[in-house]
Amino acid sequence: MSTNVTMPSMGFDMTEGKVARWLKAVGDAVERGETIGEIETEKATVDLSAPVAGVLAQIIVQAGETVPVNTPIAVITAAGEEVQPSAPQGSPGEKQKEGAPPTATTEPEQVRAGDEGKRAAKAGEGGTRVATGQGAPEETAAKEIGKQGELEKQEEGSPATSTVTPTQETGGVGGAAAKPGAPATQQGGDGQGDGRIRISPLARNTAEAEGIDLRSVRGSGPDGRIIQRDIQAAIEARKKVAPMAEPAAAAPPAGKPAPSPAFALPPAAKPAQAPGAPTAPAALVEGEQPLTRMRQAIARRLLESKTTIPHYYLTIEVMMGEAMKLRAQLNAMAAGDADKLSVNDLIVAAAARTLRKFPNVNAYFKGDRIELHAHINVGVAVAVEDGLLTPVLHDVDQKSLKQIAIETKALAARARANKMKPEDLGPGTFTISNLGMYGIDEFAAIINPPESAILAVGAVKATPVVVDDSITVAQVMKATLSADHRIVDGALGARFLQELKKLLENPVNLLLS
Amino acid sequence: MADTQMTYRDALKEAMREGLKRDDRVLIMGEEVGVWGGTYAVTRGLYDEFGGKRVIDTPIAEMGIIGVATGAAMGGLKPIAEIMTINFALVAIDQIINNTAKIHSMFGGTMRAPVVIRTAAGWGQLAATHSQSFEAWFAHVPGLIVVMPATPYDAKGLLTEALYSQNPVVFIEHSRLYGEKGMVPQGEFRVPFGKADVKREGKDVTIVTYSRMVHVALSAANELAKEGIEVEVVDLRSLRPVDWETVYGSVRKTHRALVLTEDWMTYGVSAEVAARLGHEVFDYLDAPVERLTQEEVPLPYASNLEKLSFPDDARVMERVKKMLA
Repeated sequence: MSTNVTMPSMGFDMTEGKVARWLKAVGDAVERGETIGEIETEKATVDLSAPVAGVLAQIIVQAGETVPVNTPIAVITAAGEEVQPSAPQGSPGEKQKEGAPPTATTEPEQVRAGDEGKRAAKAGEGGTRVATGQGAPEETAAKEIGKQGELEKQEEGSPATSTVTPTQETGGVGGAAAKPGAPATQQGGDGQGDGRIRISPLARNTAEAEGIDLRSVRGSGPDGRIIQRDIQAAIEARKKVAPMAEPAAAAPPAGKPAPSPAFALPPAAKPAQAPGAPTAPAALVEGEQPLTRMRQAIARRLLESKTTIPHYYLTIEVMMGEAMKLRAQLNAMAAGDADKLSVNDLIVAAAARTLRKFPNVNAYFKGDRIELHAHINVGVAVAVEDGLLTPVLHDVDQKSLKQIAIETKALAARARANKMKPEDLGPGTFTISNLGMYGIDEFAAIINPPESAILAVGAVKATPVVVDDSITVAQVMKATLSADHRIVDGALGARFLQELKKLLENPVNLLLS
Repeated sequence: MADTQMTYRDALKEAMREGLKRDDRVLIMGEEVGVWGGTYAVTRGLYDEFGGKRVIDTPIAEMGIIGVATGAAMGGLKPIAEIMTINFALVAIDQIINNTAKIHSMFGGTMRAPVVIRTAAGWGQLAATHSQSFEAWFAHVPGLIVVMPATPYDAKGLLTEALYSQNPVVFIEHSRLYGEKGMVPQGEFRVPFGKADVKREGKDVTIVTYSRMVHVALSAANELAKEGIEVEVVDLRSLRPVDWETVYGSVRKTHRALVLTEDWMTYGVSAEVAARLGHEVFDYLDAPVERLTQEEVPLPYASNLEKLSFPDDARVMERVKKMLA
C-alpha cells in the first residue's frame, strides 16, 4: 500500500510551502514520525515527518521547489513490498538519470507519474497498483529505485547521510547513494548489488529499541553483516557524546519551579524526532564525537543566522525588586507548584506585552519587505539531553501570568520528554533565553532566523546602585537584546528595552491584560 | 540412597531388571538377548535370572520381532523388543511405522501397542549398511515416542519411563556409549519424556545435541572455555517430543545456536531444530543457526575415513569460533 506525503498545512494562513531539503533518499526505510525532510514556510522551517512507516519510494517535489499545501510531494510504500531491481520498461526519467541536467527535465516525468496514479485511482482501483502495460507510478518508481540502487552501489562507497548531494539535483528517483534499509535476512547470499542492509534480527531489534541509526553502523559480521556487537559499540559511542555536551545541556537545578531556558542557540522550532541518533560513521578517532541530528540542526541554523543577519546588541539594567516582590506575593497565593511563577515567566509576559507596542521587533525580514506578525509567539529555550530546543508559546500577550507559568512548565516538560506537539514547534516570532540560574551577568544571544530579535537575560543580583545621589542595594538584572539591523534600528531597539524595563520595574501592570 | 558409578550398559540392564521384577507383563525379545546375553552384553544375566519365558531369543527376523511384540502389547503384555542395530530396523520398518505407531489412532483409542523398541545407533568399522543413524525417520512419525539418551543416568531413567509408558517408544542407544560411565542413583527413578537437559551452562553459544555428540560437545566446550568462550550444551534426550522451551530459552540467552548431530544433515534432526529456532527465536538470533553433522556419505569402512566422517572436538571448536568471529 502506498501513502502520499503531502505538503503540510502548518499555519493559520499557509497556502504554500517549499521543500527546503530532503533528508532521506529514495529507497530509504522510514519510520512513522521520522523526519524525512524540511519544509520552509514564510514563517519558519519545520521538519517533515513520515506519516507511515515504509520505504520512501518516490520523491515527487524536489528540494527547492514550492507547491501549494496538500500537494503530494513524495510517496511511501509499505516495507517488505518487493522493490524489483529489474530493468524498467521505458520508465520515465530512467534514461535521463545519469548526468541529467537538473530537475527541469525529470520533474515533468515525476508529475506525469503522479497523474497516472491519480487516473488509476479514479479508474476504481482501490489500491494504488494498476496492472497496466506501463505499470503504476509506484512500480515504476520501485524499478527505478532498484536500478539506481545497483548503479549507485557500484559508483559510490559509503552513503552520504545528512547532506543533500548533487545526485539529488540530477533528480529522477535515484536520490543520494544511501543503502535502502530493507531487511536483509531472507537474502543472505545476494551479492553486492542489492543494496540491502545485512543485519541480524537481534541487532536490528536492539538498534530499533535504542534508536540507533543503522546507516551509520558498519557491520563486522560475515559479509559485512551488522551484528549485536556493532550495535552495542554504537550505543557506547553515543553515550560518550551526551555527557560531553555543553554544560547548558544539564538538567535544571532542583527547587526552581520554572523550566530552565538554557544558552540561546536555538534552531527555529526544530525538535529532534530521533533524539541522540548519531549520524556520523562508526570509525571515530579517540576524542571525536558524532554529531547528533539535533546538533547538526543547531550548527546549521546558527551559522546561517550569524552569517546572514546583521546583529547588533543593546544591554539594559532592570531593577527587579518590585518584580521579585510581586512574584513572591503571587506564589504565596498559588494553588500548587504548577501555578508558581518563575522570574522568567515575568520576563516572558513583559516581553510579549512590549512586543505589542513594537511590532517591528516581532517581524520577519523577507528580502524586499518586512512581515509584521499578528501573533506574538515567544520561543523559550529549553535544555534537553543532547542539546537545545526552543518550543513556542503562542499568543503570549493574550495570556495571564498564571497561564504563562503553567504552559511554560508543560511545554518544557514535553520538550524534554521529546513529546512536543505540532503547535509547540512554532512558528515563533521572538525568543527569550535566560542563563540567570548559572550566575551569568549578561550575554548576547544569536537571533533565531527568521525572527528579528532575541532577548538574553542574566541573573538577578544584589548590586550597589545610585538612587537620588546615594548608594543603595538593588536587585539588578541585565537584559541584552540582539536585533537584526535590517528591521530594528538602534533607536527602536533601545525604546523596546526601555519599555520592557518600565514594565518589569512596575510589574503590577503585568496583572492587567 | 547413594549414587553409584555405572556404565551405560549396566544402567540399561538395571532398568530392565527392575522392570522384569516389578511387572509380570514385561518381557524381552530379540536376537541373542537371552542365552548369549546380548550382542552388546546389555541383557547379560537376565536370562539366568528370569528364564526363557521372560527373556526370549528370536530368529533373525526383525519384521517378525516387531510384529509379535506389537501383537503381544496389544494383548496386554509389555514387551521390550530389541533390534540389534538401528540399521536392521529397516527390515521391520513397515511394522514400526504402519502398525506399532498407528494402532492407537486407527483403533480409535480402543487399542494400544506399548512396545519398547530398543535399538542401537553406532559404528566401528561396520561399514555403510551397519553404521547408520535413523532417529530422524522415527522422530518424523506421529504416534511414536523417540528417545536417545547420552548418559547412564538418562539411559536408566528413560528406559524405566518407557516401561511405564502406555505408548510405543523407540529407544535408541549408541554402541559407542555402552562403556560410558556415569553416576546413577540406586533404585528406581524416571526421566520424563519431552524434557531436555542442559548438560553445561554457558552464555556465548548454544550447542543443541543428543546421544554420543553430547560428549563431543562437552569436550569441545571444555577446550573452548580455556579461550574464554562459554558454550551451553543442551542435550535433547527426547527427539519426539522435543523440549522446545529449553532449547529456545537457551538460544534466547546466547543468541547463537549450533545443532550437532551424528545423522546426516540433509533432512536430518538438525533441520528440524534449525527450522524451529529460526521461527521461534528469530528476533534473538545474532547469526544464522549452524548445523554440524555427519558427512554426506555412506559411512566408509576404513577407520581413518570413519573418523573423518563425524564431527569431532576440533571441528566443533572450529565451527563455534567461526560463529563468534
